[in-house]
Amino acid sequence: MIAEKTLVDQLQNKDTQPQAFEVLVTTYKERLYWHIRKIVMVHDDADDVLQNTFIKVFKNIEGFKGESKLFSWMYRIATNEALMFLKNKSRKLGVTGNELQEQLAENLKADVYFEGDEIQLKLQEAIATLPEKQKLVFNMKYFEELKYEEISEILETSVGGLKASYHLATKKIEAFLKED
Amino acid sequence: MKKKPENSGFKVPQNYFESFEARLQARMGESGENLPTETGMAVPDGYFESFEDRLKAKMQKPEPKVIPLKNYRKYWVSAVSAAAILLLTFSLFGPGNNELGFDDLAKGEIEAYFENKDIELNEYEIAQVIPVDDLEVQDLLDDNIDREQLMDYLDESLEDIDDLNFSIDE
Repeated sequence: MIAEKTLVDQLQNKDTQPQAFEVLVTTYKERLYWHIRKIVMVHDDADDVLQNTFIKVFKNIEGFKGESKLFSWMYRIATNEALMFLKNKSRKLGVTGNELQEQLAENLKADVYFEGDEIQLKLQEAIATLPEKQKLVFNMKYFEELKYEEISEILETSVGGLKASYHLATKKIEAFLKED
Repeated sequence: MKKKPENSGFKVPQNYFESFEARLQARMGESGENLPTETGMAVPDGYFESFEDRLKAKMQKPEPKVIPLKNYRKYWVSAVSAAAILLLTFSLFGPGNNELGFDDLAKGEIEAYFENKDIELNEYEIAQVIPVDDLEVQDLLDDNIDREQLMDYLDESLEDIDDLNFSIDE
C-alpha cells in the first residue's frame, strides 16, 4: 500500500491528482462505506453520502495540512456528512432524530440489503436507542475495531471520554437485550 | 472538575476496557444471548466494483449556474440621489437663501461619494429604507432567467418543495 505522505503529496499536485484520487477511492471506499452505512442504515443513503464524502475530500484536499492522519480526516468528513444527512432526513420527514433512528431500525426487517438474523436485528435496535455519540463510539470500537486513539483523532474527543461513552453504550445495549 | 478520572483516586484493573466486550459477550452467552460481531448489512452485487465509475460520473456533472442578485447599492444610491436633487432644487429655487451648505453639493459629488465609499449597510438596513412592494423579481436580477434553466436549477437544488412556501392558490 502506498505511503500516506506520498499519497497526500500526489493528491495535492495537479499533475498526479487524478491517479492519486483513484488510489484513494480504491483504498478507502469499503471502510468508509461501512462506517457510513452503520450511521445511516440504508444502502442507497450510504452510497449517496459516500460519494459526497469523496467529492468533499477531493475539493478540500489542497487545504489538508497533515495535522491528523489522512484516514482520520476522511473518517471525520464521512461522519459529519452522514450525521448531516440524517438531520436533513429527519427534518424532511418531520420527526425527531430519535424517532428517525427507531424507524430506521424497524425498517431493517424489510430491507433487502439486511441479511442479519434475529439477534443482529435486535442489536441494531439496541444501538438505535443510544445517544449519537455513544452510537458512533460503539460502532467504531465494536464493529470497525478501531483503537481508542484513532477514534479520538476522528471524533476529536479525549480517550477517557471515549472509554466512558463505550462503557455506557455497552451497558445500555446489555440492558436493552435483557429486557426482551 | 478534574480532567482525569485516575486523579480522583479511582482505578480500574489493567486492560479493563480493552477486555470489556469479551467479558460482556461471555456473560451474555450465559443467558443465551450471543452478541454478533457482524451487522448483517449487505450491499448489492458488484457495488464496490462499480463505485469509481458512478463517482466519476457524479463529479463530472456540471454544477448549476449561480445567478447573482443585483447590487442593492444601485437602489440605495438612486434613493439618496433623488433626495439630494430635491434638497438642491428647494435650496436653489426656494425662498432666498444665499449661504453655501450641504444642499449646494452637486448631485454627481454625492453620487461619487456613495459609489466610492463603503456605506457598510447590511441587507436589513437597506431593506428598511427601500420599499420592496413595487419591486419585481426581475428588477433584482442582472439577467433574465430562462424558464427551462430555472426549472433545471430548482430540480437539482431544491431538497424540499415546502421550502418554497407556496400558498395553495398560487
